[in-house]
Amino acid sequence: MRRSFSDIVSGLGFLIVAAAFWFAGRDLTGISRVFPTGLEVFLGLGGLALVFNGIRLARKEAACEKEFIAWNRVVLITAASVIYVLLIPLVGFYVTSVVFLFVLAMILAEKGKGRKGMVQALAFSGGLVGLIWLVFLQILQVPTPSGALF
Amino acid sequence: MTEFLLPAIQHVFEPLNLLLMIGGLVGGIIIGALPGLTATMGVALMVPVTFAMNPISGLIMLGAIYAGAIYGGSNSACLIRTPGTPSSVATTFDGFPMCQQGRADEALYASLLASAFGGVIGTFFLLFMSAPLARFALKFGGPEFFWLCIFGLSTIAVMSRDNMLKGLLSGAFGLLVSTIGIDPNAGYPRFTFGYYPLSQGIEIIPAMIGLFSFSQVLNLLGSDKQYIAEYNPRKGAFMAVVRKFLHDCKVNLLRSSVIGTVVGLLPGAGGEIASIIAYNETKRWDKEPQRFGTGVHEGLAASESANNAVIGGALIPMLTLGIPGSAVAAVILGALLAHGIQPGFKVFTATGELAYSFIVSQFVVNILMVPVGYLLAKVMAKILNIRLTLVAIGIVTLSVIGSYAIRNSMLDVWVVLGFGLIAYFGGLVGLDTGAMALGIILGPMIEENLGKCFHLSKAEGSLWSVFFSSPISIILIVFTALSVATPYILEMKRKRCANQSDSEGGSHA
Repeated sequence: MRRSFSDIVSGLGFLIVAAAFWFAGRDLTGISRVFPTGLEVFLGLGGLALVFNGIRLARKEAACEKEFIAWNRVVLITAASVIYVLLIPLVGFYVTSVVFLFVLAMILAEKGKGRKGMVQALAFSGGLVGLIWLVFLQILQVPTPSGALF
Repeated sequence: MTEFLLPAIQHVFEPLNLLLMIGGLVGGIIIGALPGLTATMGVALMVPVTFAMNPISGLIMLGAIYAGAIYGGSNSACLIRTPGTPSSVATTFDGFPMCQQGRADEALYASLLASAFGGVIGTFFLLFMSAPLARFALKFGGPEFFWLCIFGLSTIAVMSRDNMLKGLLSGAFGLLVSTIGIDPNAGYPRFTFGYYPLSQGIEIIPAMIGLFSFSQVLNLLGSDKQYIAEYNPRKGAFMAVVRKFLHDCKVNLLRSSVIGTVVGLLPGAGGEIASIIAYNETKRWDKEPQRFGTGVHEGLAASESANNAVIGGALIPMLTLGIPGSAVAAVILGALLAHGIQPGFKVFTATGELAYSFIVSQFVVNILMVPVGYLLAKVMAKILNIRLTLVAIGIVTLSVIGSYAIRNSMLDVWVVLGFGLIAYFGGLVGLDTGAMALGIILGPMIEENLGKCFHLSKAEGSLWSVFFSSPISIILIVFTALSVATPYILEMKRKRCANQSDSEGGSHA
């Protein structure tokens, strides 16, 4: 990624964070305000410096080689994880996890999507969730998120 | 002391106690390797079991779980870049690159040996220097803790030398995030952005799982790899690491272990701070600091020896003063009290046999850790033979359950996803995940102690005298200044030497 672009994007990101925290903490008083305000000012000024540096670099920077990123897989796992976490309190951890692992193991498999692949995906999802059930719930007695189903 | 040592050694080598040590180590290593399951949780879960045992056996087992869990965190840190415990954050810096280069066995053995070494040194201090060190720990008040944390933050200067501004801003972002939740000074919620569950604050472990683990899932799936790394176990890898440590890492291991012990002494400052400070110091004094982060033994040696040395350090104020140096030490303190043992200087006389049995067992535990950890490392490394896609989605499920287990809150699961995305996209634009993690870890301590300093200044009449009057504060300020300046001074020196040799070469030609 071009340095100028990354500087501008990260600078803008820091400015947004500083502004959001400043807005959320505008009612704070006394000592409670000192530490966050100092950080907000630092992030704001640093963000501005990055943006200006990015603009300055953009004029003289040559294009660089693009790094390979399989965006389809990144978007897929992000979206699937969000749906997974949304469903856990509704359905229950164990059922949701088996479905999540099985579906993603099938979709992301490069080869062997047939019956053999399905058996492997099922064994993997069932095995891992079974192991979690054994270690967390049975041996260590750590509670797991519950929902309508198991 | 000597009158208690012999019976203590006899107790430790009883077959039942040896078995408990091995069992505790295995359990601890597995707990430590699982993200979200911490040493505190492992020890706390086993405290009720000790009620059925005699106090010596019970304490020995708890000590073994503690040591095993702190070491166990390095396994997942090296293999899947997921620190099993927060004290393994610095282990990911060199452990995972080593694993990616097909040297997973070396990374695991280096972590194991460094952990055992650090543990032994920490226990040495616990055995021989408890009293003076406990008195030293009592001298740490708000200003000293504040400067210690600032010293820890100075690591960013070494970590992000390529882009210092982005490193500093990443650290500041982490610090700002750590202010979400209940204000430590006023006691009311702030920065909740209208979402009430955020008043619980951002828990460190889910944030670390997100920053290092979920972001790694996105990195792995975004790559065109089939496996995380090649795993080619080589004969003689263990002995090669031993030789490397003997030749090149003696000073590093000793220095990091002493840092770990001293940091462990201080209540609230745990293995995560010790390992980061030790890593920073090792990198700063190395002749080629730029090789750190690319998979070097020295980085692993520093981080792992420091975090295991913390155990001995944390037990010193717990045993001598009844003040636990870490959360796990607090749980062990609870176990001691439950067995009717009152910590304090008298613990070494009134219940000397128990105290010395516990301390001696820590030596044996750390020595036993080598064969036990060696065998488990061979099993754990097999994870690299599993297809990358399966490992990646498995990490998501483990991250979810691991983060939920901390305080049974779905907020922590969302924190994992949120910080994972921040770290992934932040990484693409050059932000420093390590600096962010450092900010989140140190933020609460900095703000709490800053508040104490302000309150103290009202009594003393001057903020200046609070911050700059104690000798420990001044030493820490000097160390911080040196920590920031040394990389640049060494770099300038190196450049000057290179220029000189170039010009000499030119004149000879």
